Amino acid sequence: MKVLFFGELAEIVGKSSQEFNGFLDSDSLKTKLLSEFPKFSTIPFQIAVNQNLITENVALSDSDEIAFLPPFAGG
Amino acid sequence: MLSKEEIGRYSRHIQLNEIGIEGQEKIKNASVLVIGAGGLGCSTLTFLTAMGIGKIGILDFDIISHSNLQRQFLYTIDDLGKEKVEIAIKKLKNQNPNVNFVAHIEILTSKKALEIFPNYDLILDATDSIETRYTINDTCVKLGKTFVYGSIHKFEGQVSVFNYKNLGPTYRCLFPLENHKNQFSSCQEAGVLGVLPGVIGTIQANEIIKIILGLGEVLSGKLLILNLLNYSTQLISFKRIS
Repeated sequence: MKVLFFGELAEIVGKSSQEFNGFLDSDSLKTKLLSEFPKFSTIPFQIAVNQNLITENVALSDSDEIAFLPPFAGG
Repeated sequence: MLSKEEIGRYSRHIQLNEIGIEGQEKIKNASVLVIGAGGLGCSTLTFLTAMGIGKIGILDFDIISHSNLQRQFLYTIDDLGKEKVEIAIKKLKNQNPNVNFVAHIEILTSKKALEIFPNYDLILDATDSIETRYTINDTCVKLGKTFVYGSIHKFEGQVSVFNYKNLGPTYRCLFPLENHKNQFSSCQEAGVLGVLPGVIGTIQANEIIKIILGLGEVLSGKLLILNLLNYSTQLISFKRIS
């Protein structure tokens, strides 16, 4: 699955997208990212699956596009 | 009623079947409060003024500094140290004397928001503070006002329309995360490409006009994210949480 990172999350990862496969649901992907990039825990973010915001754990397949979205502050 | 001068000035609008004289009168009868006269504010105010919004309020407490000039194009070196609202109104009045400008030189508190927002049809968020954004959101929800949101980070911008017709999703439906409000970088801390607020503020002005005229698809329940380095866009759908 293609995972997209925005704003400060992209800066933590060092790129704006990365392939991750084999995650069955959004919680397990989130747990993996929080462990690989501990600084994620300092940034509040929302998750979208195929451009739809999710508010609870959802099942994922390898063809999904997942976006990790922090709010922006600048004006 | 439009004057003869206005009919000439707005002729390219009036030529459009989707606007016409009737649409231009709707624009003239509309009022918009722009909160923040920084990067987003400069571009959105320039287009709202050019297009002939009848009443535009500008709220900011800041003064013009040297580091603003890289993107805040309403200001020049002669304006350094002066109040943004005062200078913006001076420039914009010259651009379109038909617009009635109202200066609000102050910090936005919940109390002030409740006093000022009822005087406007639409609220436009061009601030650089997450805390202020929650104040705008909560006041708009309380008063049933629609607000057009824009925000920027380095090379990326976000735009959405919240509480549209008092039914659409709000900022809290997208980011219910107020306890983290101090963890985000402003332009001052993060840096920003000079052209970015110009692009994002222009999209915000586009949403304002669409809402006034009932044209196209308003970004209600949608978060547009645009990256200027590769032109990738995301249009994220989200729902109102009651």
